[in-house]
Amino acid sequence: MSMNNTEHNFIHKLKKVRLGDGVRTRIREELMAYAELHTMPAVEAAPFNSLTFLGSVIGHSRTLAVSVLALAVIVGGGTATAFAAENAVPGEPLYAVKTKVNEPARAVFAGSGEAKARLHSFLALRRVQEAEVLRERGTLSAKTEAELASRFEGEADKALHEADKLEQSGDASESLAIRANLEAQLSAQAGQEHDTNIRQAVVRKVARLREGAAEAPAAQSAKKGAKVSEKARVRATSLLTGMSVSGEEASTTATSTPAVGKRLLETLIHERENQKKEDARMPIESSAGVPIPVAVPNPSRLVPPVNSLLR
Amino acid sequence: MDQIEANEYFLQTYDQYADAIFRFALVKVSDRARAEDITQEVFMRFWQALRKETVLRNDRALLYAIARNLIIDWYRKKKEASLDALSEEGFEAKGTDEVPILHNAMNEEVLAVINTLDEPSRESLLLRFVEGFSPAEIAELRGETPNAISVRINRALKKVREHLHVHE
Repeated sequence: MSMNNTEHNFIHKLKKVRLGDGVRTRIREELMAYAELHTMPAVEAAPFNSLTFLGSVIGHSRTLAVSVLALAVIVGGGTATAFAAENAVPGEPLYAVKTKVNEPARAVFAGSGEAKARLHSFLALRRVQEAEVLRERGTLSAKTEAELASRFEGEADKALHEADKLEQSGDASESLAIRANLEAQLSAQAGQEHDTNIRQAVVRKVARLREGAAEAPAAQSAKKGAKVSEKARVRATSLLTGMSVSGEEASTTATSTPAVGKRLLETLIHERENQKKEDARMPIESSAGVPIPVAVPNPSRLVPPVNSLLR
Repeated sequence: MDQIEANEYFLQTYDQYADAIFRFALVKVSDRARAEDITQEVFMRFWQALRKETVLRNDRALLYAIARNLIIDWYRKKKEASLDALSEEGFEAKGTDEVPILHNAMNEEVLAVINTLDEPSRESLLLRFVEGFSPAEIAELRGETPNAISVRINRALKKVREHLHVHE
């Protein structure tokens, strides 16, 4: 259908419909502020490649038998073997399957972010527990202990690295929740009686976590417009009230109020303030202000003085 | 893309498409203030998409798809709200945002004509003749066949013509 002048004129007028100059500029400025608040995430690591994975599994295995076993698990779906290996400790034949097949496989399925951080926290704790099992049996050699201690540190660092990445991508609360969780779990381990090298490694890690918490970029991360997930909220509440989120976590969260938990609360309070402002129909808000000091109940004996945390 | 590059790209995209997205929203919701809000929201979501994806294949299509979804949400909420109002206050309740707010007499005239069309026709007409989409592109956005779109555009144009001639 062709158009005559009248329709052309109509279309021409329709084309002239546009944002008013003032509105256009206002929205532009608000969008710039929005982009500043929600920064681009840090560049991700290279994606997982299954060939590299297989290569590393075989390459790192000490014996051919383990390689064959690894292949059997991967190719043949040897779930029974993999399952049996879960409780193996160093020195047992299936231990290599546990650490070189099962655990890397879990890391692959964990993907990235929170799940990955939690997995590495779990693995860090597992190394400590393995040392404990061997110690009880009386078969913990100095060499094995040193190795487990170093692997513990490696896993804990990976968990913290994931937490850092989350924080950089604007998810400060989730990042803090991960630290709080790790700190709580490690505190429980550090509290055990037997003075072993690996326990000292745990104590050092806890101390470092608390130093990190004392530096507290909480106000800063809240400024970046970080979002609070419901999970993080629940977690923070549980950490601070000493109530457990679920039975599984009861033993780790109920005992102390870690420094990180305090930081998490500060962030949450900040974000709730920001949320209120947003609710008042201000889609973009360059938030300002300082953390609101809060009285935290039940400080554990290892938590540094309150003043150093709440500047 | 790093932060600086992304910012630059983001603002460039805004400058290029802000008016088009605003027009799109305006013909659909017939409310200038609402259309402005939707425009802003569309670009906020576009920024979020930029943050998540390393490569965006078709910015324009993405912007219109976001706008379309936001407007559908808006209609849905509006419908729920007006149903609530009906059940609570009886049939005399009137939504305040029913009256189009138009600041410009020329816009008003054009929109008066546009408003005689049903919503899918308004959208197709705008995209075809003002924004220069092909029927196939419109079809993709709406999830319909290009043929159906072509038929709709022709009918809409006919209706506009009738209306303009009657009022001359």
